[in-house]
Amino acid sequence: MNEDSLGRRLRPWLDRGTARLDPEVARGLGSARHQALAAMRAGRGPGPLEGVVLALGERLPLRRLAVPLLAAAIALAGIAAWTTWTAAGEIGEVELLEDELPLDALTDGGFDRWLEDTSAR
Amino acid sequence: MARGHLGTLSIAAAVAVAMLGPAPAGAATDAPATWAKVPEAERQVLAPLAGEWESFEPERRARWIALARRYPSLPPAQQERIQSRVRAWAALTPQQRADAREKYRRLRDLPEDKRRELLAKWFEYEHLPQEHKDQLRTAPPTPPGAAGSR
Repeated sequence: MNEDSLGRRLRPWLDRGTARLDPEVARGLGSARHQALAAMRAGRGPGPLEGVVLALGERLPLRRLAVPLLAAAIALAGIAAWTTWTAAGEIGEVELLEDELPLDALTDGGFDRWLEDTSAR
Repeated sequence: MARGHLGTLSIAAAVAVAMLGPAPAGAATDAPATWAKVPEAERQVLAPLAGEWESFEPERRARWIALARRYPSLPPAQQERIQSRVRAWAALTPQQRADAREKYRRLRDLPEDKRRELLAKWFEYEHLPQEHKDQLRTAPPTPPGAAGSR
């Protein structure tokens, strides 16, 4: 069986499937095809990334996804900022060395016990 | 239509990149990454940290550098205090440092009068007999909630 005869045998199945396609999906596919043809006529095809986005754009509700994506980007930025702040929040390090309270008061476990004892009395 | 989506996605990506991008100039960008590039005057102040300098995050190096730059303008007594504390800090284990930072985070936000009270208690503790302090240091930690029931 060559390609042509295989195509002829498959066509009725594909046509039937196409007829049952959701009108919105059919419109999306049609629009993507027209854009691809227009780009080809203008002497340029979509780039690899643009091609993927164009194809996805017709299947995924990207406009609706934009807000969650932006929210995710902001959340990621927040996490990054928090990480930077806490790394710089090694803050304490330089800040605590300059504090009036001696470093020993922060590292001497005996002082903690003594504070507990005296405050419990 | 899809080009509109592409535009929206590009804006979202640009915002994300801008927000995730490098820290603003002047934050950590001028902190030397290697110990050899730290200016001599600052190296003297931070000498106890030489061995671990390269392992510090840029923000952390920037904070140490800022301290070293402020150092010459400090009164001699404060300079001496910084020097001895940097030495003491460098001698601590990572766990001791983490504990000290954690404790400091809890204490630094105390009201001024409470901080003064704590400082006064430290001086009081310091003057306890050495034997008593040693006993306290080796005593097991009080279980949470038990302190007030004695």
